[in-house]
Amino acid sequence: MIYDPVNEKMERSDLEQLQLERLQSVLQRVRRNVGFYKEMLSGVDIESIHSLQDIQKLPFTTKKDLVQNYPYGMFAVPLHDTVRLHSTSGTTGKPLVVGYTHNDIHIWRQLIARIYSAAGVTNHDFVQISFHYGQSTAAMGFHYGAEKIGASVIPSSGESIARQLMVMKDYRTSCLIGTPSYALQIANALNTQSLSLAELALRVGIFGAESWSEKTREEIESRLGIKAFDNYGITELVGPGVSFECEERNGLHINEDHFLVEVIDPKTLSPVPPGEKGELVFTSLTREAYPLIRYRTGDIASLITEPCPCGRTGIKMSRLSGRTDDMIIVEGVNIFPSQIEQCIIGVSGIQPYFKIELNTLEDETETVCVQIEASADYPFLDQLSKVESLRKQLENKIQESLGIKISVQFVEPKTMSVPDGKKYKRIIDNRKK
Amino acid sequence: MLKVRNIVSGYSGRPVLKNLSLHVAKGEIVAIIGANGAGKTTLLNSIAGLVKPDEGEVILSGKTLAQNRCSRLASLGCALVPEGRALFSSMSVKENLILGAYSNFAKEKKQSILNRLDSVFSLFPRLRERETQTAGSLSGGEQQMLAIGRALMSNPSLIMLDEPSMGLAPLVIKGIFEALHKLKQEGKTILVVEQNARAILKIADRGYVLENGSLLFSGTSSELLQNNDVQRAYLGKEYSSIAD
Repeated sequence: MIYDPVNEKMERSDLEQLQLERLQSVLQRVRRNVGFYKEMLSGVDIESIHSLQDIQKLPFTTKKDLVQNYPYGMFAVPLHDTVRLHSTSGTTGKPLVVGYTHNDIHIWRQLIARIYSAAGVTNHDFVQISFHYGQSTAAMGFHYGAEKIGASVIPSSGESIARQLMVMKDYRTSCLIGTPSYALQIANALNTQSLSLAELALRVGIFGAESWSEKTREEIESRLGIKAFDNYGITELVGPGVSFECEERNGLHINEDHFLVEVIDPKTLSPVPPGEKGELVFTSLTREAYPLIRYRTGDIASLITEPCPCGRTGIKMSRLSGRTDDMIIVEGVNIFPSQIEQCIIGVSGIQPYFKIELNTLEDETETVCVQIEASADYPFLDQLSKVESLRKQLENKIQESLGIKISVQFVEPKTMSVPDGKKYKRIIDNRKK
Repeated sequence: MLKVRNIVSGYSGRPVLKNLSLHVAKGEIVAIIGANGAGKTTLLNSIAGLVKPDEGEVILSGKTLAQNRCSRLASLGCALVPEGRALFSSMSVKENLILGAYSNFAKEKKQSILNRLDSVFSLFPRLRERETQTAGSLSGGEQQMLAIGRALMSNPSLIMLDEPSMGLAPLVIKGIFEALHKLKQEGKTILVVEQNARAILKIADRGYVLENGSLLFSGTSSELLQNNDVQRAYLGKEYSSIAD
């Protein structure tokens, strides 16, 4: 289903005209209203932006710029024009504060409605939202979007897993919203609660807020008996609603009428061709309160320009491969945590939760230790030889994937699980700088 | 239907429009709002070819109008209702209307022009009542009806209007805007420059807000009506009342 066919199926030339108009007007607004951009654009002739490609004449905006302008320095409207504030998690320092006007919220709801419709969710569905209803964007975004399409929202975050399952069963939840890792925790809990899939009405899951592999998708789908959809969004831009999967699930359709996308080489900052991985850069074209120009997201993906059988004309992005700041360089080799996830998902005896600890030995050699959570229901947890055999097997698999020597350690069950879709720090870098 | 890209335009080397782009899709009413001097009239005149743009392009029905010649624009089905109406004041209402179809005389049968005249009279019954009166003797509202009617006589697919409510009483404005809405329902595409933002956004599908020759906002009419900047600048709301 396509929620907004006029805009989602727009002819490419019409879309580019719309994007150009919106780009030219957002540049006027940020130069007029945001001190940071007034200074940044002082050396740029924004009247010379004649095409979408001309955006390359403009400087990038980085997370550091947003942090330096904390809390309200990037706002493009007076504070009394904002109707809501959301924040980033602030795992790497102070959170970012992002404002929304009435129109921002109105457009955001529509963007989330596109996600739901693409996943086949309708006003007949019961949508259970397990994201944390805090200052982050995910829960509220999906909440209002579900109401927009007329679905019944069950705001169930903060409840215990047992309670979530009870709600899911009794209220006949048909759509689950949350992180993929939380979906797996729910799948685990199904066993412990002695619930069978036949007792649930669950049929769709829309997951995000962390990168997840195709293997994780398969695992979730088989264990929960649902069709799982990916989506992408970051708080700085709006929250969820930047891109989403359709029923084809071969890339995420970018809401290009609201976000202008570029993919750049994070080292040279030059654009990379479609199909090649690089850092996603977005310009928010319609945000009133918090518009960003050429924002470097740090997320790694590629663009897919082939037409989609679903009929949407927006360009697609691949699923995330990781983040530039997640990328670790060990002995000259680039490693992404997603590579490790691919190796461990679906292996019996362990959970798909892990951390990567990096150390420097006395001889300056760098070491990588992957700590993986053991599964509580692993029947051989007390048999050393079986555990050691599993450890070796995982070590070999991960080493083969990464191309470097690593070690694997198991940690106690339920020590890494993350409640409510909150993010956890996966990389512990103790190396000498 | 109409695409305007990167228009730079002005008078005597002084740019009024600074790199402005917009579009009007078939069947839409699109409003251009902005303060005096924002460049609204210059925009319409640049599209119509009355002012030659220094840069940029105008694409109408897929055809780029390199020189923006008025006659070319008319032949592609575009009519302008200019600010001040530019009627032939000593000629009758009917004569003014018939002249509106002048460019169609060679290619259209007399009967079809007369049929169109009848449909203009149906849209504005006051004009039928004053058919033989001179245009100069009409009230302001009637003159505006005549100016719109004259534009319709060329059977345009796109009608551009410059300040159609200027100097008119509220009740007359209502009638004019109702006529525009009817024209939309008949499939006409309308681009209208208007200072009366509140009234035009009630009937327009989308709008653009111009400031100092640049595009500041664009969006659906309901989005523009909800925009606090637009409310303050063009809808007369005070800071304190916006929160109410």
